[in-house]
Amino acid sequence: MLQLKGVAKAWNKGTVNECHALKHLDLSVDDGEFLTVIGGNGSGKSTLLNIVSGLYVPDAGNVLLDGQDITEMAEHRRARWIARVFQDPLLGTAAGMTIEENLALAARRGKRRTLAWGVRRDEKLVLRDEVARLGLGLEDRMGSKIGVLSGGQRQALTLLMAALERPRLLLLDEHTAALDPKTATAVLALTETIVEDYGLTTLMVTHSLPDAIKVGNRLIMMEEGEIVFEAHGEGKSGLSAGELLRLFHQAESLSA
Amino acid sequence: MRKVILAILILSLVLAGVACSKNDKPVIGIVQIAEHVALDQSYEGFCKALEDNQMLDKVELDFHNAQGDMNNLSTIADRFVSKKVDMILAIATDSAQAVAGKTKDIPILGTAITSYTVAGLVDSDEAPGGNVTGTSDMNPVSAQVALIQDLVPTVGVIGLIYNSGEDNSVLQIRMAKEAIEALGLTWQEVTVTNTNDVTQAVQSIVTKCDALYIPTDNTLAAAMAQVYSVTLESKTPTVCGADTMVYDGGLATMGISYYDLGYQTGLMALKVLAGESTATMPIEYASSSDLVTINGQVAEEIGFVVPENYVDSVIYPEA
Amino acid sequence: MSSILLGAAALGLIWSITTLGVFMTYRVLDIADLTVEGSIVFGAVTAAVAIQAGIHPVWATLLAFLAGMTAGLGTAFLHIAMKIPSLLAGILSMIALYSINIRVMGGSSNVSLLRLSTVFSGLTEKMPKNTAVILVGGLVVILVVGLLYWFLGTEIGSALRATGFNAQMARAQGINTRLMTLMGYVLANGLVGLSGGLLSQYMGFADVQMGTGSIVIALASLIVGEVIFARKGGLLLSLFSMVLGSVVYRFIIAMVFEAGMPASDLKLFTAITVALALWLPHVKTKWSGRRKNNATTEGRCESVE
Repeated sequence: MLQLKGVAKAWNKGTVNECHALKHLDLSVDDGEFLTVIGGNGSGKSTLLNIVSGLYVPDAGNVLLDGQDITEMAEHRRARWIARVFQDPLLGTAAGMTIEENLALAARRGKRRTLAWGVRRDEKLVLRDEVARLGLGLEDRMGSKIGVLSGGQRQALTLLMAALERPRLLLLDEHTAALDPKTATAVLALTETIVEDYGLTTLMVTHSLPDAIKVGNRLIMMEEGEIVFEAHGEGKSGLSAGELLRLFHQAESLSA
Repeated sequence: MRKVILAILILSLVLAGVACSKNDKPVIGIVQIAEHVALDQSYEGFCKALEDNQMLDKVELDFHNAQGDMNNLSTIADRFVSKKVDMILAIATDSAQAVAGKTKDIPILGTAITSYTVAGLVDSDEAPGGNVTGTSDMNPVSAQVALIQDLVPTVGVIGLIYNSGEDNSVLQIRMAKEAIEALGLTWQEVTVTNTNDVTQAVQSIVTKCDALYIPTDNTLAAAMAQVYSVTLESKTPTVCGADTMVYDGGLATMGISYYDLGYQTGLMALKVLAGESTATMPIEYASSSDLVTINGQVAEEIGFVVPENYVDSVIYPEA
Repeated sequence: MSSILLGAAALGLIWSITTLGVFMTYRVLDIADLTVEGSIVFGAVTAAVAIQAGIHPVWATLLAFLAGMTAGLGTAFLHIAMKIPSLLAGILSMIALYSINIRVMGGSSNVSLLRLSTVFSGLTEKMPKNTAVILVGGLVVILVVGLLYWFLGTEIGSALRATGFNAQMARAQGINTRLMTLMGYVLANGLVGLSGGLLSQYMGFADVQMGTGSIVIALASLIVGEVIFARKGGLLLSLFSMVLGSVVYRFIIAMVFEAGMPASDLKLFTAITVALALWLPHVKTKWSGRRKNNATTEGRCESVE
């Protein structure tokens, strides 16, 4: 359902700092896949995500979603089908607005906004139930401003907000990287639950090898703008972190 | 912080109450829009007029400078009204407009205002009809015409050139014609509609006159270079309405003194304090002035000999 | 005495509409918009010229609102389409509007309304001018606050607020942040223009210099208002605090005059007041650990889940 064909992106072209973030990348993601992407710094994994989300426009190649070419489409218009959780827990929610208001915003993702009231009365109960799913007790604080919550709580909410309207594609951009280990584990578990419950096609970028192995049903490793290794199903879950690390170094030295 | 603000408010109210206590002397509220040499001089002149008539120590002066902020004008006006001052001196147009908007009862004397009618302050110059009157800083046309005769005693015909589309010029020319006729001289006029016409217009008028008069007309002021090139050839003395025009190639001008204007306003104020009504007191224009400016370079080039008594008024503008 | 208080209230109410406009750009959208200095005069001048041309004062006032919106549109274009940083875009607009304002006034720098009827005229025959202005101004303010409160609670309004809080997130939620910013600029400056239209009718004239220092006045009022209502409250309270802040600010100025301070010291006084008020919340946070209305992200409690 998601296809990248010959996507390339370079920064600072023509200067001494020229770097090719993505080199002629081809990738296909099917409905229902949960793809994890790993790679070192500069491997291009974040660039890949940002091109899919619309933050960057590739220099060459196409991005197709269910056959529709969205390569040049603006971020906010792509948001109709693609939802995103950022690495920075502060980026996913609006600090000065309440939990309820944030959820209400997410509930309207992809829909035309009118002068109707921002949070309808009948909606409030529905949103409350959704928040209760997280099991964090936040449903009792729907009127609290997001700003008082911790990073983990905000990230959990961002995840919920992303999944709320059943997006066609869920993008997770190292979304546990900025959290402490305990919270990160909790959020990751939540991720798996939500993805499974809602049946979402997911692309998760992570720098944690164990996480990449544990979560999802397909794994790709990137190095210097190209995919250097791929595993799925048994071949993936059977991997050990050590093996993956070895493959990782192998890939690094190959391209060095 | 809330308590601090509350404390300030209460303290201020108390202070205000104290300041509001009634006084025996008549109070003159003075409001000036901003710091400016001309405006400052108006005030000085005003005070001198009061002093010369032994009134300075018999009145209380409440002076405020709005520092260019219109909102301050409003606040100052409110203050005058609440204090029930006996008279207000408003220096400059905005000041007068601000106070006139707040009171129809307290007499207001204006100064350093060009046109009271345009500013909506009076019904007409001759019969203001309300609580506002004062002096106008409009350039002294008749005095300038008199200057022409002073500089060129043999003058018979004075040429007039202006843009007939500028209201201000039409007004000044009318005044000029009256002044010329009052001196027993005659005039010839030519009009232009834009700067392109100026050269030819000047060329035609200089053949018909002994000296030229140009009011503070925006079109002519912008085209002084053209005027200069023609009058240089014809050696025609040109008296202008403003000193900037003299810098640009005119021969001479006579400007008003804001100090004197202020003094004149002071005299009017004394009349009002004595009981005369502002409604019937006409707007006065500068009655005298000695700010003559003569362009020395132009004088030399057209062969004009500067009279003894004007030698100090000669300037040589930068090329 | 009462004239001073009423005058401060009247002027404060009229200016509160500008403060509400600045609230929209500065607080809601987090943009420092200097267009205000130009758009308030644009509104003032438009209303004045319209009344002089014989247009009914109420329509003239609405025209002032429109004029303000146009000014906002201009700045939005500079900032969004031409990618000029917001601060500079506002300054450019402000400068351009100076020339435009003089043009609208037919080349002069001042238009008088002293002998013409204004929106206040109907009432000024029956009561002192300041009282009339407070009544009419107060009515307009209530209307504006009501409309703003309603608007910011709608879907579009919420999207606008989200854009101000977190543009990246807003885009991820499908919000066209460029459109929201444009709307913010237009609405905010529309309010400022409306305020200007009322101001010229109150003062009795429109002058091209009327707007000088208006952004500082608006910010000072905004901050005074926030400081007074420092406790956490809803949007309605925030809006109301803008109005109160404007009136209190005018009040303080009037009292300062009464106490004998020359107007030339007023600007220093304003600067000190604003600086103190900006600093105070930080001091408060240190003392009590609480936070103000528009929550900042520092001091988040790292609670265990």
